[in-house]
Amino acid sequence: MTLLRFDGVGKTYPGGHRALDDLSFGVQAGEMLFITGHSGAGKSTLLKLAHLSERPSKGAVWFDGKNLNQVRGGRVALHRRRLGVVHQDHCLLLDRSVQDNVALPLLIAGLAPDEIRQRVHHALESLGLAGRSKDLASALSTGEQQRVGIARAMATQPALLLADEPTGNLDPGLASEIMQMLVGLCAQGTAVVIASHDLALVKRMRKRVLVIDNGRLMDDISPEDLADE
Amino acid sequence: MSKPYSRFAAWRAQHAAACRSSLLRLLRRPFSSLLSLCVMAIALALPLALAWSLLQLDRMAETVQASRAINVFFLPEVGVEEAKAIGAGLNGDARVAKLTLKTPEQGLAEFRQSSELAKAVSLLGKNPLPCVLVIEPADADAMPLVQRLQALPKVEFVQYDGVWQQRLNAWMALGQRLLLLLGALFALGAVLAVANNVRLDIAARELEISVLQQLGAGDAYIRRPFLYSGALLGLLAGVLALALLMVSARYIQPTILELIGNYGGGFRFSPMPLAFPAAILAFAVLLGITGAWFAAGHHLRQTRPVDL
Repeated sequence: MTLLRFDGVGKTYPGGHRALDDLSFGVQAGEMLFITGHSGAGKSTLLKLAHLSERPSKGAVWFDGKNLNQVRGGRVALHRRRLGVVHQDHCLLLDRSVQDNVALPLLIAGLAPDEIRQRVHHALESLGLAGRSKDLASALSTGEQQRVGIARAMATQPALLLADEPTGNLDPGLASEIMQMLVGLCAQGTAVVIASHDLALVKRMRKRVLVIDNGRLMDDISPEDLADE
Repeated sequence: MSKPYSRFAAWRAQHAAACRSSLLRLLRRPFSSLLSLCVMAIALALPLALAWSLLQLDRMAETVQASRAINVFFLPEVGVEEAKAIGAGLNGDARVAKLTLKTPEQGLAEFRQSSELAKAVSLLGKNPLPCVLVIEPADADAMPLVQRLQALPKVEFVQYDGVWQQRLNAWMALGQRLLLLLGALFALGAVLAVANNVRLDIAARELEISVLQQLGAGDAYIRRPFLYSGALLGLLAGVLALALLMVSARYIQPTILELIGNYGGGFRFSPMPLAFPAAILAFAVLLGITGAWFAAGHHLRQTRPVDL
């Protein structure tokens, strides 16, 4: 089942910078997809369009059968609740505890306190952070903060997880570990779209890769082709 | 994501978090919060003081209302029987609700009871007071009747306090309009004070708001802690304004009573009605929420994704 589909999508920012041009591809539920390209190629814009942080200038983005161009007002927030987002700079609330940060999207989604506690505990345990749940996010190392960001995204059990350079601040060992966690998430049915310029990591993962250059789709490499390379 | 269950527990958890968060925000910026609180309290206290003053004036007006009788003073040579005869001529007039004749003796007795000049009067050889007809008019506008009474024979003077009442009523009407105008202006000031406080809070929390929006927080969720802050500021400002009003009233009451006493008045301040503080607090909370709503709404409109 195609969960996310870009259909002839173009994005031109005010001022005339064309970030994406006639981009078309689809992502299946439970699939892991890497978007790669040099800096400024349009990777982050692509994720922003799926997240509804930006709107396309032309074409349409479809999510779970819905044209996101028609999602407006309060429904934007509802759409975002179905996504998990991991940023390179992790976007944590540093003056709150680790468990409060992970609980945040669950509280927003209106889950009952008991279920929130259960999910937070499970997410932190699976990322090896259970012992630091009460620490302030500001007291963690960069790698730990990144893991909290991933725990926060995983705790919501999203249909689609968007990750923008999720391993950019991490050492290779930790980066691989986190990638394995994301693979585990895919196994549970979550589609994971990762924007990364770390080609070594992308090749190692042997998942489908979209190569973007100047906002255009240059290549769509399947895992099998990647293995052959 | 699984469907939300136990909606009430979730709703309660969201509100508890918002309330806690707003309280912490106020406490983290004590100086700024205190400034806003004082501005709002003063903005509330000034129209409140005016409203309280009007309430007292209204009571005074009621006293005047009670004494809107027309007093017809006859010439000194008019005797009681002649005055009765003239008064009997007015009995058929529909504009006269009640007519009483006050003899010079009755007038002197009243004078002795109520005036410090009573001793001086008793030194006079004879009663200098004339016969007086006391008439209660049937109509609100008694001027036509007053004109007829002035035209009666052997009448020296017609006293009508209704003129004073009309003047007082005009002043009261002006006061009420001023109260409304000032109240509206100061209420706007209070709303702006809260809006400014919330705006500063939003500016300090821009990153947090952005993260919440990315995680799927809707406008209501983001706005909620700011509304709690506004309500809390409003409530505290209402309490402070009432305290200011009470202290000011206590300070000024003795002076006013002394002033009125010098004019021989027996006026007493009416106590504040019980509903008054409750209404003021509710109004202050409403103003606080309104200010917070505008400030948060403005920010939310600016941070929405650009539409096609």
